[in-house]
Amino acid sequence: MENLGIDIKLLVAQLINFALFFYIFKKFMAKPFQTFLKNEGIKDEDKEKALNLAKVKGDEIVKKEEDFKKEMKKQTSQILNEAKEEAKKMKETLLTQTKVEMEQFKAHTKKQIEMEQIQSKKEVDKKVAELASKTIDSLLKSYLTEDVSRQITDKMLRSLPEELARYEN
Amino acid sequence: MKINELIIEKLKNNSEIAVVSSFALSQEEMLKLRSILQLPAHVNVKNEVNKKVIAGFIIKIGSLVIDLSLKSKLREFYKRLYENL
Repeated sequence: MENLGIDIKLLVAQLINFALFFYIFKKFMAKPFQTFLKNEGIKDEDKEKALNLAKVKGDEIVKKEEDFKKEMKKQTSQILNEAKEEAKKMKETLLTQTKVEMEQFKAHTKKQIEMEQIQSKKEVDKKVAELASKTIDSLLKSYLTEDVSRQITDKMLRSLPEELARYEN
Repeated sequence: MKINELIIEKLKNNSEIAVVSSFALSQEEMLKLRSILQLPAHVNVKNEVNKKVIAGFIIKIGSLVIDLSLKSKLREFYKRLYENL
C-alpha cells in the first residue's frame, strides 16, 4: 500500500472526515435546503396556477371584450340601418307631402290667376262701357239740337201706348 | 192690373203728375200725353225741364215712374253692351 503511495492513516482520517461531513451536511444543511426547495416548488406551482388562472381570466375578458365589441358593432349597425330606413321613410313622406302641397298651391294660383283675369276683363269691360257711355252722353248733349230732341220726344210720345202695354206685362 | 187702372190708383193720393223733359213741352204735346194716359180733367200735369234727360221724357205719378227718356235708352244700351263685351 505504501508502495502505491496510499497512506492508510490518512485514508482513514479522510474517510472519517467525509463521514462527519456527510453527517453534518445531511443533518443541518440538506434537509432545510430540501424543505426550502420543496417550498419554492410549491410556490412556483401556485404562481403557475395563479398565472394560468390569470391567463384564463384574461382570455375570458378579451373574449368578453370581443363579444361586447361585436355586439356593439351589431347594435350600432342595426341602429344605423333603422335610422337610415327612418330617414328614407321621412324623406319619402316629406317629398309626397311637398308634392301634394305644390300641386295644391299650383291649382290655387292657377284659379286665382284665372279669377284675376276674369275680374280684370270685367273691369276693363266696365271701363269701356262707362267711357262709351260718357262719350256718347257728352256728344249728344253737345250736338243734339232742340229740333232733333223734339223729334225724338215726339217719337217717344207716339210709342207711349206700346210702352204702357209693356208696363202692364 | 191695367196701366190706366194703376195710374188712377196712384192718382188717388196725388192730383198732380210730373213730366220731365229736356225742353218745355208744347201745349199740343201735353194734350196728347193727357189723352194717351186718359187723365181726368182735375189732374194737373206739371212739366219739368232737365237737360240730363237729353231727349224724350219721364212721367212721374207718385211712386210710379214711366221712363221714356233717351238717357234711359242709352243706359239700357250700355248695359247690354257691357253684358255682351
